[in-house]
Amino acid sequence: MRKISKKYLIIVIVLIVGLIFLNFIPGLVKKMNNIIFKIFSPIEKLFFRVGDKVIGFFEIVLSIKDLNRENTLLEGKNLELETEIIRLKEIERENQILREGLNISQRNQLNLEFASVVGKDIEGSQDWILINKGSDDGLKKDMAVISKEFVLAGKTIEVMPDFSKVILITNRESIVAALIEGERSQGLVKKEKRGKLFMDFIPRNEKLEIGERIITSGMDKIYPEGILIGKIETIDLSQNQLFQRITISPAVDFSKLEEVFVIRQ
Amino acid sequence: MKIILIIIFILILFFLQIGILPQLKIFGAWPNLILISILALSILQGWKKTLPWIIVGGLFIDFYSLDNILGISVVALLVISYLAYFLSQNTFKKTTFSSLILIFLIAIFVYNILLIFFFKIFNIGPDWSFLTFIIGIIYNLILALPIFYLIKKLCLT
Repeated sequence: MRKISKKYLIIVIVLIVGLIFLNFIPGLVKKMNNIIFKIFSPIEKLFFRVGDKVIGFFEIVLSIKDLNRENTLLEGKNLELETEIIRLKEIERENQILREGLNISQRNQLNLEFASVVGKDIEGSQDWILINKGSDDGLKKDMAVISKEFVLAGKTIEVMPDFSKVILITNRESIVAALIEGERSQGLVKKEKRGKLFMDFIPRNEKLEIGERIITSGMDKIYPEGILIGKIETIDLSQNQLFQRITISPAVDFSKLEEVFVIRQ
Repeated sequence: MKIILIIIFILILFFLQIGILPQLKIFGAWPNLILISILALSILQGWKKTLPWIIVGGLFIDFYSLDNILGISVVALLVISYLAYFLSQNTFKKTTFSSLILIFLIAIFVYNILLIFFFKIFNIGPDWSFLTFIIGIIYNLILALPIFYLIKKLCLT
């Protein structure tokens, strides 16, 4: 076995110590992150869009058994054309969303900031996203984030000058004060397995129905009252004699989140 | 010429990693192209020459993680890079199909164990399940050899 030379051993030790040291300089990692995201986010966003199209394309191909070669070629050609006009479509869509957002904002008296999703978790359970708005746009930590359909998505957890990290409500650190729309029973919505949510300690005498809507209660002072979270998927009465537990199916498909609104309190 | 090709190749891998691969998730697992390409480079040209890629790739993963603790991925990649190089030079001297599979298997396994270890220490990271762990290893192994031979071709160009 060859020994590691002194020179390389020193390089490795300096590297590791240096990296550990960088973590202790306040704000430095955040600043570096902001620069990295600024450089990479435009290309990353493009790859996301192309990825969506490619995956969508393969889904179509796999779902239709007797798709002939000509159709495949045409789809491929179409894909190329769609990629070419992504930028124009994006602008058109953003305008539409901004118009919708303006209506939502006026209707609910909320101060909304429009943002695009420019990054996603690359190594974990895909339960956080990166958006292209930060402290320079007036964003702060713990601001609620909703989808363009006015459905709860998550909250800002880290704010850089030009970008913010948003943990989704399916993240294990997320806790949302919620209530069941019909019965008005309150509780905390947390992460369940496989992208679902749960709420427990609901009194057993409350008559719940599958499909009932769960909305934010506003009690946590982070998420404003009345934002849709999801619908009851299952009701578990076996927990104990006093309470029942429900699993909730989120109303938003987090994998398809492209644009969001941040609620500025 | 060779270095430019490798830079372009690694950059494409980075963007595939962040843009497209998360959408190819199976039971919560998806391939880590940065890990596979660093292992391939370590086997082909040694861990010392791979050091710049370990730093760049590791920092890239750390910057794109929720908790931003710089160094976790660099250290994990450094360990498995040396391990892969050591195995290829000592235990599995002949570069056969099965020896490559074994080197990748051991290195990917150790990488995942190291990450779980760091995540537990710092109380960060996603929730790990045994199923995701196993599928992640298989998923990476399937892509390991094609990427290895592709990088080998680029290195010899």
